[in-house]
Amino acid sequence: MIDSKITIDVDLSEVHYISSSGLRALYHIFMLLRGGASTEDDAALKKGLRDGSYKSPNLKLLNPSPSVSQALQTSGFDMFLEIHRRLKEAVASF
Amino acid sequence: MKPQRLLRIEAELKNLAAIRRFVEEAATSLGAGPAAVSAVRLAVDEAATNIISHGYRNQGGSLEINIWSEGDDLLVRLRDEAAPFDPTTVPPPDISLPLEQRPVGGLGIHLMRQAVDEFRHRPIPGGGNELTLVKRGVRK
Repeated sequence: MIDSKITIDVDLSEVHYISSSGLRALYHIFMLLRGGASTEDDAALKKGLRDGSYKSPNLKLLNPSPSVSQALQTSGFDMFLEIHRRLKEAVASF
Repeated sequence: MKPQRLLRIEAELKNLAAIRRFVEEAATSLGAGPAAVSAVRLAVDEAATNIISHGYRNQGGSLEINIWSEGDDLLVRLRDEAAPFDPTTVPPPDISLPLEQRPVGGLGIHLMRQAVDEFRHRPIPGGGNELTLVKRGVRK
């Protein structure tokens, strides 16, 4: 059977600037990919966010620049989105 | 007279790229280093987005952006003719809250607050808003 789970790794290497509009776009992708999440998943997400152990299994980020990393950190997005430096490592992590 | 740069532009989302370019050029020409330029560009982008989307409710209006330096500090003043709104009163979002409980709309003001050292608002007598952003120690 083909696994229908959709995973996206957003390559940010060429993104030199991000504002709240870009962050909101990432947030919407995150929510879309969680679309079919069960209530069990929801409970796990809430608990994981509280204790810092939750990272999205569907959406990951690759190679953000220092200024984009700063925005991800300031907004708290790095708390639920994994950030990888190498494509191979990011793909293998799904 | 102190050196300053002024942009008068229609408050529309399609003008945000021109606004960012103006801030970059003006801040650089006033002696700000790359990190400060980048922070001020983000703060003005967020402030202008708020004015365009919330202040004018995407119906357009006038926006004036003035940038100047005082010693080692860079100051930006945005003036509009929109309904009075003081972004400094918006509480910072609790980024430790579960995602569903975070007001995503408050993100822009949060980023603006973090990017500069000071921001203050004053309603313009007769209508409109004046928002002043201060970034300290911007010299390279």
